Amino acid sequence: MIKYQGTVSILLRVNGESREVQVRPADTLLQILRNHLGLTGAKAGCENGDCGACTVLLDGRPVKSCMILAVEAEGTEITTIEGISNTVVQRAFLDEAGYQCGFCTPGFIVNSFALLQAHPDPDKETIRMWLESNLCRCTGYEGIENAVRAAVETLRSPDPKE
Amino acid sequence: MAERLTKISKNIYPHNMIPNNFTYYRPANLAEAIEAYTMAEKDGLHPLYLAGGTEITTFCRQGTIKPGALIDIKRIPECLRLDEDGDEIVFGSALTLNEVAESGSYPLLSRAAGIVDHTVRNRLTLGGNIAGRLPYRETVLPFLLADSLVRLAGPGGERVVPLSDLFSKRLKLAPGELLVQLLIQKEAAVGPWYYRRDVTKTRLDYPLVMACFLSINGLIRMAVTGAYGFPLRAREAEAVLNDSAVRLTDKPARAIAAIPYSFSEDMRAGGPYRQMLLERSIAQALGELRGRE
Repeated sequence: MIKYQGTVSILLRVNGESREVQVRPADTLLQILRNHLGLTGAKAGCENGDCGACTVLLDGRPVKSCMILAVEAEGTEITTIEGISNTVVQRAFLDEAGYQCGFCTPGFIVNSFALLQAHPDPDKETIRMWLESNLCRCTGYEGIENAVRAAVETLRSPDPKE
Repeated sequence: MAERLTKISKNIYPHNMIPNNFTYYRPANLAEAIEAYTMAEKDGLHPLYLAGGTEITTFCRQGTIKPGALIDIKRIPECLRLDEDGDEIVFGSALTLNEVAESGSYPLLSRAAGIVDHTVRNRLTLGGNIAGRLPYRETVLPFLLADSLVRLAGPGGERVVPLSDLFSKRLKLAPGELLVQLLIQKEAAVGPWYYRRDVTKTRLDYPLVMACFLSINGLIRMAVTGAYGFPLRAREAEAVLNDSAVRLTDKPARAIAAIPYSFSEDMRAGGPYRQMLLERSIAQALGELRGRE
């Protein structure tokens, strides 16, 4: 049985690399990603599981890293926004101006990336259901939805380059 | 002085930090989980079982709870089961709500599990929703309707008991006892059903009234949460709904009158509004279920 007390050293798999970090069991994954690993793409927004700015992927599924202890993520594949740069989804957000102030954008891109992995041709209801997990306080939802639709179209093309 | 101490405290504990330290256990099986609980309890750590952690991390951050130990049950095979065993369907307590919903094993449960948002549902578990602190416990309704059994493990051993024996407003577990699985009969999972969830603004809100109905052998069962401040199987209402001597149009009001509790009143909605919502749900359920039979 694993037992962690005080400050302990654990291995996390982040964006395909093994990273050793010193954590307290009470440290959230978001804190460790940002403050220990320098991966500041995931944002500390509400830190209450509401806004989705801290979204990362655990084994391919989007989760809110403010609500997960770093020790719980041991043994999983963690993917942050830094791990999905230069993808069709990220480019679509740029092309369609799916951002305003940009604070929520990493969370939206990570969630949209997972959405298109799970549903390459999502219907409107599926897009809405997935994206309602994220809040944009600038209310730029139309551009965000357009970006997801544009990414779907690109991925349908014969050479999507993703 | 107090102001200065507050400033120092904020410097030491940034707002995003869980301030209290705890010991983290990750057992590989039920025996280890119970052993961890027993050890931690003996050491005065007031342990909690940790599943998805959506409530526990939030409450720890707020300081509402200060457990000295968390026992992570997400790697225990029995808690992750989702399959059929003879005439039963087995749902492990550490399954996420998305896993449960996507399986489609019990359509009413799939619908009832559609709470909070999709990303949170990748962490929020069946056991956490049913045995947690928030009072709505939406996913217990389909299990109450299906006369579910629950498999428990604790310092006193393992046992399988009817959910209805343990659930009165909340799940009443013995100290150190862990909800391992919920079991339903396959035939209950395929009965005609109706579901309605009323909220104030968006579907992510907590329910003002959420009602589930399941028809088994032509008899309607009803369970509700939000309306009374706790989930319940409304057996008194069921007697009215299934009484052929009561006129169909009279059934919603008479069914509600038979339930021996007062409607919740809070800043989100008054009691009469909740009553109207529940009456409407019952009327719609009667129409839907009669139509399907």
